[in-house]
Amino acid sequence: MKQQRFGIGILILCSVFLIALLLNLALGSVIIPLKELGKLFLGSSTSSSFEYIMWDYRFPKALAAIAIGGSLGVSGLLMQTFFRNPLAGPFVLGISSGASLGVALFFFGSGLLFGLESYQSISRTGVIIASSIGSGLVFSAIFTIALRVKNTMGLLIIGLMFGSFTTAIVTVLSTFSSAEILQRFVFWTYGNLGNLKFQELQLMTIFILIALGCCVMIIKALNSLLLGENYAQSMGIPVRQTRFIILFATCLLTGASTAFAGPIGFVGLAVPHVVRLLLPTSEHRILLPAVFIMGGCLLLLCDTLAQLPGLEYSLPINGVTSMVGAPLLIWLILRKRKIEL
Amino acid sequence: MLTVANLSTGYTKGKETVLVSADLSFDLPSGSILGIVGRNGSGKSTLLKTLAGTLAPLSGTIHLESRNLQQIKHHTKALLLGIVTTERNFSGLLTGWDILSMGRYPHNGWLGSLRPEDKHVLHEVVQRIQMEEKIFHPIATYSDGQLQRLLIGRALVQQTPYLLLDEPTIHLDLHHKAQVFGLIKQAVQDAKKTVVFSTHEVNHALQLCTHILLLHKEEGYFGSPQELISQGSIGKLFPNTLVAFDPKTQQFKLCY
Repeated sequence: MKQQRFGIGILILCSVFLIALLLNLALGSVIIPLKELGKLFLGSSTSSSFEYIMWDYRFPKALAAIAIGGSLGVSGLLMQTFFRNPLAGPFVLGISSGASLGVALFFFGSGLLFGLESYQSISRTGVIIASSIGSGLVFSAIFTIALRVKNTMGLLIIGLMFGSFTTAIVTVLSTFSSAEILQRFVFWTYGNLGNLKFQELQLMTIFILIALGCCVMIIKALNSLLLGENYAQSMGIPVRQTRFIILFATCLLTGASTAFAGPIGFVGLAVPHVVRLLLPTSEHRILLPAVFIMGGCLLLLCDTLAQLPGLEYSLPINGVTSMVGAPLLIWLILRKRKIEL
Repeated sequence: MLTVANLSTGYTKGKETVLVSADLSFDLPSGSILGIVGRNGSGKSTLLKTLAGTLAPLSGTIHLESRNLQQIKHHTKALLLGIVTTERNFSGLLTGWDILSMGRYPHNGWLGSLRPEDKHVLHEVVQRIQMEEKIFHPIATYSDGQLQRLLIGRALVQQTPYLLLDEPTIHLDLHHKAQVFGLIKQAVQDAKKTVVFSTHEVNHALQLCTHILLLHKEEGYFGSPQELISQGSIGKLFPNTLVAFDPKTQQFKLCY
């Protein structure tokens, strides 16, 4: 047997990604034909309505889907490697629950204090700020705890507890709020890729790029952590520093995407597994880019489904990700019969 | 030379300090094989972790080549000291080659790509641990013996003058035990390494090792196998009712 090569797998992944991107740009309540798509990219389109749909709506949405799907996937990979647990995902640290709590407090609080009218005008920025603060707070709490709790499994359980604690507060808060505000909050939890403004997209991309840069810096450390912290340390990896970089990157990736698009579930947990089932390797030099591409791919496809032509409403992205992702993952596992990190 | 002076090992549990071994002192010349023996719970693993620097000593000092272990940087330590632990729950997707490649991490660049000279070292070690057949297979398919040889191979690939192994022959049959001991002996003879390992195979350790450290009730007895036998310290290892040391054959024997 020769050393494994994954060139073909990566090629397939990239072509699927391109197809997903084209489908996502073409399909919707208005279908843009492939020819027109080409013209749009070459700048020779004659249809102003296509131009409007493309550059003001679909293109930024596709970019958001790639960035968010990719970063959720990568943060899932980081968590699974860090905890050496296949059930870990970006939500295990409670980051997105923190964001939910922030947004819930913002919705319910501003509803109570100012009434509905004034709240609507500040809503969009307010939500982003509130969820950033929420995830930031949980993030710093976890950092403080990581200083004291050396045990990785302990940290995992504490993260989960953070999650259920914040969810509980949200539940309690929602009992005291009006139906309208509650509805708004519920809509936020559905996730939304569509209404990101260009500046928001830029800001999010900066955060994500910083986090991805961190990941690339610690590829050796991630690989060696698969043998456990003792071995990693014996191979000259600064384990303490690496733990912080991993936590930092995960919080940034999850926090940024949750702040701008709401808590999009499932992608983070499922994508690393899908990639490992297609490209059976634990080498992070391959996994990191592949997971990012696959994450973007999955969210693009889900978003395409959510806005399929003929549907009067676009479906909540959060529902579609699980409805597509769960059967896909089950099917893959049944085919391969074994799940490994 | 590995110099241990007045070393007390143990750990802190909350505010309590648990002493495992007290006041160990010995000099281990380069090119020796030190076997650490003792009953279950006598502190063999704790001592190995302390020697590896993953556990801080309660007091005392450890010097590697006259450098204080506590003050050596991670990266420098990785060039001096390779370890084999008893951990086994690795990701099953890793191949043998993947794990061996990690042994080169202290030597190569930030992405960990193998340079030609790294590959050369890997191929040599693959031959030495007799894993040519399975090296590109995922480790989920390895037997206990193969996995253990691979992990020793990973430490050899790291090319460190010191090797620490925690119970390298546990769960192995006699043939595979002999293989592992053979690898250790070879590493000392060919590459002039210094090896420290813990074991329950006292009889084998007496044959193989140049030095023995016997841990018993917080105390350590250090010497060559002959010294420990003639002092009679070796008999402390087990209560005499079930197992006894037979000075004629220089082996432990069952008493019934």
